[in-house]
Amino acid sequence: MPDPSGGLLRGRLDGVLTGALARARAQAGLLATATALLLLATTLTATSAHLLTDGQDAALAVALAAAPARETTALARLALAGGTTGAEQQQVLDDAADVLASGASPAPAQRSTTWTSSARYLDPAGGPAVGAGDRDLDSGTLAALGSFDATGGLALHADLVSGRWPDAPGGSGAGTALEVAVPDAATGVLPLGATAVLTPAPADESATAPLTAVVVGTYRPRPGDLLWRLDPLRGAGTTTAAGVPGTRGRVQRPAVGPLLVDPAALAAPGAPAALTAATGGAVVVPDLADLTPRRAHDLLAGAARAPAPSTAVRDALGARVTAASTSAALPGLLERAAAQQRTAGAGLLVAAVAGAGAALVALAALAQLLAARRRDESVLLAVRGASPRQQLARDAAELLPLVAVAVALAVPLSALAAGGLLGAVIGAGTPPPGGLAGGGTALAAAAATGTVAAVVVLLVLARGRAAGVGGAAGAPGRATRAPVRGPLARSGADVLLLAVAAAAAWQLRSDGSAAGSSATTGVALVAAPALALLASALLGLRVLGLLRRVGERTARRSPGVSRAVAGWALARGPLAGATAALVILSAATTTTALAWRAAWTASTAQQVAAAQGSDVVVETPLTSDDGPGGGAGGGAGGGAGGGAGDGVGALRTSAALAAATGLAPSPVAVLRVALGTRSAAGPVSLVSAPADGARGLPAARQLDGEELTGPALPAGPVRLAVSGRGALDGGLTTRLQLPELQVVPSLLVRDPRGVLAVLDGTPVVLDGEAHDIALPAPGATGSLQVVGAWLRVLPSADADPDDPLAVVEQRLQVRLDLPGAQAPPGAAAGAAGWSTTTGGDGAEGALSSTSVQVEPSGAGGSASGGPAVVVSALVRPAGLPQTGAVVRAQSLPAPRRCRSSSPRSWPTRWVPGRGSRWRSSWGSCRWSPGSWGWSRRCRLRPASPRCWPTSTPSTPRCWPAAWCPPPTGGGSAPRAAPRAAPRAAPRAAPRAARWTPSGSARRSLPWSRPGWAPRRAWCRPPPTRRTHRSQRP
Amino acid sequence: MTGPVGDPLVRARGVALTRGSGPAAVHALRGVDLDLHPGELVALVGRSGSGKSSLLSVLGGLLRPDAGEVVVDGVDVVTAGEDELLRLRRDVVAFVLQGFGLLPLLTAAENTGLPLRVRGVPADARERRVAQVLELVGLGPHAAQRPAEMSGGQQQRVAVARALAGSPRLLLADEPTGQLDAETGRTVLALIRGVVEAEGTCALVATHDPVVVALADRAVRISDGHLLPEHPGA
Repeated sequence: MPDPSGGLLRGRLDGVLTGALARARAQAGLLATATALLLLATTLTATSAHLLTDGQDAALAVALAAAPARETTALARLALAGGTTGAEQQQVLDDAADVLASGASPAPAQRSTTWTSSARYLDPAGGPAVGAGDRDLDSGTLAALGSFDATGGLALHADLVSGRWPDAPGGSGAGTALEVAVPDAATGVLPLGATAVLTPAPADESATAPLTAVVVGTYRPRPGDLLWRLDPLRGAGTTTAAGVPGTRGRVQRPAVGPLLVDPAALAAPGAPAALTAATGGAVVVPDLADLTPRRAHDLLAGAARAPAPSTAVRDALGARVTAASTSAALPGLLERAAAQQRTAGAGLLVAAVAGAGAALVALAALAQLLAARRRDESVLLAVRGASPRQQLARDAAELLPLVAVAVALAVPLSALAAGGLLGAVIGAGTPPPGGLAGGGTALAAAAATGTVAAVVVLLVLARGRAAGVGGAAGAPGRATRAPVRGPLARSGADVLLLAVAAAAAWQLRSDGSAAGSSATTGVALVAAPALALLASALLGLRVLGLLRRVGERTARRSPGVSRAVAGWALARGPLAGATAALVILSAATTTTALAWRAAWTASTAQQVAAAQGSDVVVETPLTSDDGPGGGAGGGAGGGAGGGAGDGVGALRTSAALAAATGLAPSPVAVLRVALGTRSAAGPVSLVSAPADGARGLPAARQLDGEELTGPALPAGPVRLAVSGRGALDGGLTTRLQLPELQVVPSLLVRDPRGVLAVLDGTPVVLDGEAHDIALPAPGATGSLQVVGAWLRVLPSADADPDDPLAVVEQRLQVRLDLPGAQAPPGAAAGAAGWSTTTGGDGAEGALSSTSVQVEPSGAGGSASGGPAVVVSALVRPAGLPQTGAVVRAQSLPAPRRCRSSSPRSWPTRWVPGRGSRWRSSWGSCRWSPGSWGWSRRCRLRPASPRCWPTSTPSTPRCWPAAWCPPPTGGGSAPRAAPRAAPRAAPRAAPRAARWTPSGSARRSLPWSRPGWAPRRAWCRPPPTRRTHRSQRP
Repeated sequence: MTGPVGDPLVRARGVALTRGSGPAAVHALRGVDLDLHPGELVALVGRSGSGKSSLLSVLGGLLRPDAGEVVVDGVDVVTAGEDELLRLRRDVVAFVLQGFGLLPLLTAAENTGLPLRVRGVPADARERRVAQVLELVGLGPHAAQRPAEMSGGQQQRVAVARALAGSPRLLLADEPTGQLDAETGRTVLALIRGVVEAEGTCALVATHDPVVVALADRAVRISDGHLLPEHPGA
């Protein structure tokens, strides 16, 4: 028996379908237009989704593939710990290569390791066997220094010129002698043809087993091969001036090398002792040519989470190396790519939002068109009893095939469009986004579906409006006033949406994927800003309510017409347009802010770089001039010992500087330690060091509004008159002449921008006479103010250690007259605002009872007539080290660090407390580009009441964490520790905390300044001297 | 019904108006002579395109005739400056349009008070006058309603109230009952009639509705720009 209800349903369905088909035939043009509009809108949104997700990854992949090898290569230079076998050392190198390669994961990488022995004299066969340290150059038998080098995959890095590659001892074709291949260029220095026999000098006099090497071939390094960056001779094969081990570079000899040996010789049991106690290196060259967008995204995300390569290498190798210097260019490249992505993404988002807005307008027009054309039909259906829900179902059923067609076409079309756009923007070879990932396609489909949903909503709204105004209800047409506006604005949906958007943004940020996208994060990446925009628009409804009330009030109070009508239009105008305007405004504002932020970041770095003029550089001692195993005496670190020890010291210095600055160390000739703010949490901002000896100090110290009690130097060259003499303390007299001392005066000056610099003078003998000396040009602009005078007290050059007077303490008074300088207005003689500290390596107790007096106008009888700084100190000449001791008199206030209640909080500034006491506050100082110095707009955020002064600071000042001035009265320098471990500083932290001038400047400086700490440092009570010494390289 | 007495409020002689130029030029008015007196309700009857709206525009100072003389309340519309015409339209003349011309966002009271705002009438006086006029047209209870919430007749009454709010001496109505049913149209016309009699306003109502003709003091017929000889109203 047939089901009557089923038959009725079929009948109704047939009727609906028949009616729909008839209507479709009658309105074919309209439906075609609707389909085209739908297709356009869905394609637009889907293309935007592609570009915001897969497109950025594709662009990243293309950028990485086009990057030259020097921008992706990672190198590590290691000082291998002694007492290990060759196999263990090889394992260290392999582990280092693994760590470096992990930074490029998941991209494949070509790994190379090399091992280099310390340099030793090479004697062609027949030469006399002599020690390492007493060679006679004129004998004609000592031609050059050389080092052995075991490099894996020799054929990959060098071309064989003659002979063959060496084999390991005992290998096929190898005899008992160590087979080596020499650089082709070295054959011009030494008679090193094939079958030549070399007898390298032993490493020390205790070596009993001589090593014999036989040359089996010559090679030529491949140009551009990055492995040779680890070679002390940079692949040149020979140099005429390499520092002799143990001479700190003072003695130089020709050198050749490296003498390549088979790596198996290193790992073979019983390897010669000459092949141990060496340095090694690893080079990793990622292969990014065939990187897929997904892998590019993973690479970017991994790089954001990975620790710094230097840290990773140190952690992985631990005590197996005594020093490690790592240079990885890929993180920087990825960081730049991420910044570029953010900038491009912001612009893209602008275009996407604009396109979505245009699509929305088009769809709204479509909905209105459909509603208008079917108004009569809707009225008829309503009269016949069709409910709005039934009409909506009818509309949805009609739209379904249109939607299916639009979505089915939009997905491939959007992929093609995105690919075409990417290809046009970033060039050929762009991978097709459509084949990149399912996530992008799914996202595109989701966007298309969302667009269709928007159409349905718009259609319903349009239909309701069309029916409401003189529609089915007939003549009265009493329209209701936006019944959903108020409840919607008061429902709290806006706050909820904002919370969801914030959660999505936080999730993206915590995932470290904000710069990229993937199938997992792509939806959130698109949804977060969309939700934020929607929430902003809904929040705007609340604001709109306020604005409407204001408009209404304005209209009522206005006597005229214009303001009244405008107020009424604002107060009573339709909300739909205002909401759309708010969405567009929010989108424009947000995207503009994003783009502005990205551009600001890049601009800030560029401006800082431009303002600095030139970066401060520190030369590593591993330059070609120093030669293999050359000394570090002229280098930044001043490493101890000679030979390999110098290299180790240099490596330590390099690593220490890297740890201090947060920058990757480099084994190349120049290590940049000042790069601006882009790659650092805080600005490093070292001022450029003039070539004439004036040293730049970490700048960016803001002392606005504070008058320092120091004389102002005249324009032009800086001159100084130094005089002084030692006398017995306590008013005692003696007819014997006390040993004369020397001082090296330096002036600490400050320019109007707050930049500090030290002007070093030359040694002056304190014989009671005035000595005029010229100080180097400060390299600063504007008038300079003397804010400190530092004296390095040196023993007399001809001091006799056995002189009984040397043990007598004497009161040394040194007067520094400043000809032509101007004392501060109203300044009186005294030490107001000035304080003294002492320091100097190994100078404990040599100086004591220091004091300072500043005479405003030559009250001490100076002929200069200018102000003078008089420094007094009790000196124990016998305790003076040869390097001298330092007394620093300066007017800079000293900060004092408060105890933090939170172990993860950092004092980023110091504010003045009551009197001369200083207290730390918590917050951050923002770099103000375009002007040198720090912005005054510091965000004070007191987090610890214990650290906040009881009296309101009159002038909050920013002392960047990049600079910790020495305390006054503490008697020693503050210690600095890296940020990563505030309370448990790593072993090299104190050394790393020191700012070390460049090699040339270092040579011109008589002492280092332990009181100046680099950025990311915090000031703590002074360490014990023992600890301080033990951490010196 | 007595005939017009005293000086006319509106005096038009030989008014000619041409719209467009060249071959497309249309002679909207041709030598129109017309006098309108205060307290007189005159029906202007004619077919569509006969020149009714053009004549109303000329008499209201919206258009300047090409030829002839038009004096409204002592102002020569042909030679008057813009400021004088503006004052004329603001203080002397009021219009009632076929399409109501109400601002949809404003309530009936606010729409009615717009002419007073244009004149700069203080708020208190304005509100009193608006309430008075709305009571006059029978829309006191509907003062807070917006046009969309009112019927067509109510909207037209609001338009009439707006026209009367400024106490004009000349009321020009262009098809005021064109969109109304007969009953509502009669109500509106009765309203205008009452205002004319009560306030001495001169009203010229363009229409082709015989009811209007019946209610008018006299009717003037216009055809193809020519004013035909008058005949008294009912």
